[in-house]
Amino acid sequence: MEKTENEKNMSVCPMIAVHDLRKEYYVGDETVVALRRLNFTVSRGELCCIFGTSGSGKSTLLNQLAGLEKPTAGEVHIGGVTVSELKEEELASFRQSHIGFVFQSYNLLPFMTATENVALPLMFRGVKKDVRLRAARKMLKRVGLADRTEHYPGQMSGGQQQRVGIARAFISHPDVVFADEPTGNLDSKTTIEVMDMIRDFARSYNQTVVLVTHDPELADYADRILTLVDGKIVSDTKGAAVK
Amino acid sequence: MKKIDLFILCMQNLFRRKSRTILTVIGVVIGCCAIDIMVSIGIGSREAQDVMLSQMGDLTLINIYDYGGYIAEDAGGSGERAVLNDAALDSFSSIPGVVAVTPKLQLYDLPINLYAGLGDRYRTMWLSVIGMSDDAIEALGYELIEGDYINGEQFAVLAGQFLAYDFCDTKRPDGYNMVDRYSTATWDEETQSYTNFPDPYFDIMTTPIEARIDTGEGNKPIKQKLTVAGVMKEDYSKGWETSECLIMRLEDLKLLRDQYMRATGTKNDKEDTYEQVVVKVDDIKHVKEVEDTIKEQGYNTSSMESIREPLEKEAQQRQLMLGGLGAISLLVAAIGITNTMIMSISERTREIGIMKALGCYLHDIRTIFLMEAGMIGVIGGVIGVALSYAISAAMNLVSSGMPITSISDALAILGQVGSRMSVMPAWLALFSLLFSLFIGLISGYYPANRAVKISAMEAIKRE
Repeated sequence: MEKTENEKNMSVCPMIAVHDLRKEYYVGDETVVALRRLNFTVSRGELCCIFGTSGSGKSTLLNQLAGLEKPTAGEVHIGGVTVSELKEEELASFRQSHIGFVFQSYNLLPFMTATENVALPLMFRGVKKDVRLRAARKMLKRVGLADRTEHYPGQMSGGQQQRVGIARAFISHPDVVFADEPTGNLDSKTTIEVMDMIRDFARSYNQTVVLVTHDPELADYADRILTLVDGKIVSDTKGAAVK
Repeated sequence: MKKIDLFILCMQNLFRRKSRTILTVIGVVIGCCAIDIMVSIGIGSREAQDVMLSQMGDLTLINIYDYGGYIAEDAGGSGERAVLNDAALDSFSSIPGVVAVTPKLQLYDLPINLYAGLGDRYRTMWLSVIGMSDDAIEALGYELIEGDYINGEQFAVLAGQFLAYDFCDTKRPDGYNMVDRYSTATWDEETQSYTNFPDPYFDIMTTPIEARIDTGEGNKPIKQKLTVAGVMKEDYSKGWETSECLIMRLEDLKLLRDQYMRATGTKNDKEDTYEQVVVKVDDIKHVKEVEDTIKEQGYNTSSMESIREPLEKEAQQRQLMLGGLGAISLLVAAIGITNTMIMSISERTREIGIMKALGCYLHDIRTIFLMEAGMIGVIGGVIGVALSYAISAAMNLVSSGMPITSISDALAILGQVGSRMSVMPAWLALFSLLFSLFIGLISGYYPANRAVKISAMEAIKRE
């Protein structure tokens, strides 16, 4: 079967490719360089950990990778698409089908039930209500919250909320899931549960995960660890999870 | 996003901040009520004014008199006297908006009287006969209390409501030979007219009547049998002829005149001209146009328009002022909506960031906020209109000053055209609804654009 141009790119190119990425911020008259000429690639199915202390530029890097912010120079490609050049509306539809997010503070909408929260990305895509809620319930079952589907975020523990967040990130089977300190607000036991869950999801669909953290423990789950200091990659090592 | 999802999201957001939504809606309700009530009072006073004017005369009639007007030369006329002749009638009826044209032909020197009863027992001492175009009588709005219109029948006539009381009984002595129609009549407050008239000597509809024209000493009078087709309702706004005159077809009256002239030996080779012509216009709005056209042809006209127009202008100004006062309060409400939306957006900054990060389209975010603002406007508008109807009804009931003991009493008062203080037509309700929606959307525009500009990075920010 003929593959479309896009699919060819997807299989040939790395999932994420970063070229000469540079980001500057202007604070008054001063220019602060957050990222200096980064170059790296992440392959499909890889669980890549971006590790760094606060102020290392790891959050800035995440913003550039996910297209939340435009770089000062350089390019970010995801699955062959130059994310750094997409317009706002194009970015929205790109995120709908290719990107998932897991946030540190879960970021569930407080007035929606767990099911509705999980179904949110599908709602933005215009999926019919009964279809998306059914899909959402299935996802909640997979993260072990079958009995919490009609609960509101305020009625759930942090670990449960993050599991809802994970279900939401994976519901539309995105190519890349960005996880921003996903366990920052969780205790060590729940951290293990949550990270196992992220890894299992990613493995089962061969999805790429970019994990941003300052917690060296999480590096245990990664295939690859990029360490960032002062906006530069100082080390690029294989992680403990590599088979 | 699907429209239904957008709508549900919008309603969820409004319900999350109930008290704020309610307060903002109240602002719109007050603004909407202010406009409705103010304008309805304007409409009410205009209605009262129109009713008053129509009691003074039919507003869609134009009377044209032959006082000797001239067609001005600069208006393309010949400078000669504008004559009310048959050609003039034709030209009037070709003016757009004119539905009927008739002369009112009255022959003052025709000594005509009516006779009725066995052996001509009853006769009129004095009679006015008016010749009119048969087909115009109904169009002019002459109402009948009995019988039918003339409908082209020769020497069929319409009698004024009280013509029968003009007959005297020749078998009785002077002073006792007429029925005084006010002898038993009583004033009816409700209809503002007299009722309970005594019976006249005979029923004018069923009794054969003969017209006689005196042709002078020694000559035989001209006799003509008449059939009374109908009796008109007295209505001075149409003309005094509805009271005690006899209306016959123009051509019949001309026929009698010609006979009279032959009998008396006077010659008539002049063209027929009329002293008065009446033109009926289809709508009050066209009266001015038609009247101006006729005036341009050099005729003297009179209509209620000359009284109505300045009154109308004044009423319009008053209404504009009242509506403007109302609009100001809706403007204040609009600022309230904007304020509420800006507050709501600053509270929901993170939420909006999350939605964007999860792939919500910018236009959907804009729609959500516009919809919320519009919804506040619509809800306020609906409640405002309902409340306005209630206030309007209450005002009418209180201002009528009449005792109300039952619902039917109240309904009767509310239905009294002309004495209502406040009138709220459907268009006003619809207008204020749409206006509220419009105000909502306008006041939501700026906040919605602010929401769109919120960055998806808000979702990543640490607390």
